[in-house]
Amino acid sequence: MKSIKKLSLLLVILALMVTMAACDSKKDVPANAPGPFDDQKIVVSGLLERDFEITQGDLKKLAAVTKHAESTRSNGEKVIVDATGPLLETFLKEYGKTQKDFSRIRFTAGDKYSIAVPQEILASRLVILSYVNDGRPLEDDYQPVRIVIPGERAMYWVKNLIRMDFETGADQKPPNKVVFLETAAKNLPQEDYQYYDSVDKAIKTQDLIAEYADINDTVVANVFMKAGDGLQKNETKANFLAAFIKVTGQDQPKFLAPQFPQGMHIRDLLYIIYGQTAIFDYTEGSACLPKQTFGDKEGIAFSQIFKQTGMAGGNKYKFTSADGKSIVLTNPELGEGGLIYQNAEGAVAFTCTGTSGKQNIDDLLSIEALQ
Amino acid sequence: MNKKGWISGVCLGLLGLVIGVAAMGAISRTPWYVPPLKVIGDVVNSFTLQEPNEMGKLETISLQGNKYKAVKLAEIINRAQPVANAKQLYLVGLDGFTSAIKVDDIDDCYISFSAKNGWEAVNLKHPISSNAKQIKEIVVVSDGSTRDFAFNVIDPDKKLVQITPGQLLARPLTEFPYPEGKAVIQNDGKEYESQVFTKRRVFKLSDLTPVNEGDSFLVLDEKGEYRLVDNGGYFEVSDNHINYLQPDTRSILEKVKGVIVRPPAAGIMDIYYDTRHYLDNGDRILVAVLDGLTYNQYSYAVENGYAPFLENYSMVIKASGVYPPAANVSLAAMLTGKEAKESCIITAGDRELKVPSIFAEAVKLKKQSILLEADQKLLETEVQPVSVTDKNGSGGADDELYEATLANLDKGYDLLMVRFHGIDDSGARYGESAEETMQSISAADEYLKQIVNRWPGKVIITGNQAACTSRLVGGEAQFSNDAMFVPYWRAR
Repeated sequence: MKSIKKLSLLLVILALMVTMAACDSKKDVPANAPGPFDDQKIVVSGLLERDFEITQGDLKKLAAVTKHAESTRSNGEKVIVDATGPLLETFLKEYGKTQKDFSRIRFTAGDKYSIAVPQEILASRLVILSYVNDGRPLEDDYQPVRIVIPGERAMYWVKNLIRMDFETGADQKPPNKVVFLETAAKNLPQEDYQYYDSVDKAIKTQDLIAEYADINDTVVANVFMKAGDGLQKNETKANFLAAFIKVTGQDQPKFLAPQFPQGMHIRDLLYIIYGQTAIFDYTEGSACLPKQTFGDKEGIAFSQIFKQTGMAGGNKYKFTSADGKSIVLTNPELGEGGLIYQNAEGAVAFTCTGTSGKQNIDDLLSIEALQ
Repeated sequence: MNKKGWISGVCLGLLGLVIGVAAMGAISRTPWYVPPLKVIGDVVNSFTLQEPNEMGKLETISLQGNKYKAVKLAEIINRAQPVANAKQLYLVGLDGFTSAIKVDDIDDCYISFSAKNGWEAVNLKHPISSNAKQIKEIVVVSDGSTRDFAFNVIDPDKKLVQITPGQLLARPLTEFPYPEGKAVIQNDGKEYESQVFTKRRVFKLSDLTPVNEGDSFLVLDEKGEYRLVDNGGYFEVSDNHINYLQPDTRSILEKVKGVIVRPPAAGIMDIYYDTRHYLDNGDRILVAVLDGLTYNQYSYAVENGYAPFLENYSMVIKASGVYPPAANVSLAAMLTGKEAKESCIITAGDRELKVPSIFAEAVKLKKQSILLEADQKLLETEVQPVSVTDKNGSGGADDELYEATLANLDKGYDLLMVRFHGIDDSGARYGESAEETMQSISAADEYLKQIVNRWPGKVIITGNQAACTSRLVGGEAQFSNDAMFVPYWRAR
């Protein structure tokens, strides 16, 4: 009888210990501590030429952040989480990309649920590849990663992530044409613009886009701008088209408008992305980008234009000068890529040496990638 | 009983216990679906009632021979903390049926829940038509007299609209299907899509006040974030606040406090950009900040002859301030050129700037700078302010600041910033237009005359929204023509 009582007591204690151990297993741990899901793979598609896999362990090696996020379900229930993990931006930086490079990113879960995060969200929200929620490792059915996007509804918070597709889809294509601002501005009406004590010259953004980009492109909602000091900003299409670019005097090229608060102005503009057209300022580029020499000329490498603006590569390129003349060069004819520089007359020019010998284009207005 | 029997008995007992606990848990849950009942409008604490007994013990009441278990409507409303002067309650049914009753008359009003009628009003003394069934919302509507809680629309000259979320909910609003996204799931080799929208109750600014084509609006939220927009976006009435939505860009500003229609081009953040421009240009620059001086107050002072120097000095510009209008928030905006969200100076207690100020810019340009002020340190900046005290016991340190400024004019500083407090102190004590306050403006006017005449470089003078310094920032900070505009001079 005694042994039966002992056995019963032992069973109860054992059950309690198992329960306590189970409860304890999810206690706070360092965010990047090794865990049983470290090797679970996530397929990444569209980032490199071929699909590849990453693991939760790979993500734990990246700098992590913790962000508070709240979302309301359709029944009114609030989903609240402090999500810890690397930002998608941090992950993309490893591959020289940013969220803004993609028209959408699709996240797919183990149960084949997927959601495409559109460009508007990618342009304005943080995306966290979380592996710790509320200070604890994810529940098993959420492993290895739960996407959390603060400010967006929980439908975007894909758990049990197995795949990420980075898309530059039909609705948002990378630039295929770069227009040099200095040359373009010479062909556009210039207005006097009172700038402190001086009167400088400015062009209307509306004129610039109407002449050199597709002003009727309905896909364009935001216009991306980057300054020489690294400042990046998205401006709404309406605001952008109501502004000016000051092309002479101090701080030029400067995006500004008399009706805008000065906080919206951008000085030392490096480039603008409007739909599939990039407007690039060579002078600003030569001041802030690595220098390249080509014979006795110094300027910036042709490849820098791609690197900076995310311009799509082509099989051949059409170089057009201010007088409307153009030549088409294939990749072999470009040789090692060529140089964009300022010629003796102070105009933007291009030179390269490839299979068809040396090519020079003065007063360079635009370069277009052709297939 | 043998040993085996005992073990089986214990195991069965444990199993029974587990099943029993699980069954009790299931039984204790509500056996029917309880739709949420939201309390929204002019309340501090908008909330959702999920369970009939969430408010405590239910009372048993009778009406026309029927018995109800119900909670007092007043208790529900009190929990939501209506803002001052709550006047009307709208009991909104699922089918749109709405009964409106006066807040003063709800002593005998109850809310009951039944599987048949859902949330149901049981008003013992009101007409029977007030007893709405399947209620989904209780909207509290105030008389709109509390500006602090309201959505305010102003232009540089006047107040255009002051309306509360409750009052907006009592008006016709557009139900806008805001696209949230599209989810896809694969089943049996086929893709099934689901496009998700949320219905938002929205209005356009032009629904509230006439606007001209091409007008721009400066939308400011509770935390000092701002956006310059056109009439293309929507304002959403969400529970007890207003959000601004721009569906094209999915840009949202939450808890909007107000809108400035056709805002002036200048703003107090210009101090940062103007100063940086002058320093870049190799100019020396004097920045004088007059705490508490608003544009309307300045206009009054000029009309009554209290600011002869400033009146004739240079063209005064009306500049937008920031929200919340508090001394440290606006000073941070001046010094950094950034909105409160970026500088992280949002409440009266914030001190540490999260972005570089103009003093850091001066250091980068190898320029010498000095900040003279008498108040307790409002912000942590890259330069240690020179603290000036009221040595002569005059009741303020403006005279000492004036002397200190004169003493530093010839010391080679490229950037000299001085912050006078007398106008703010007088305004807070005597009132914005009081004679004592006007005398403070007059004194500052004379100080500036002497300082500016001896300064060889550029000059910026600005008012600062400091009148609310002693008040809570956020809930009580006012969005009004008096608080939101300051005079600004950019000269020489």
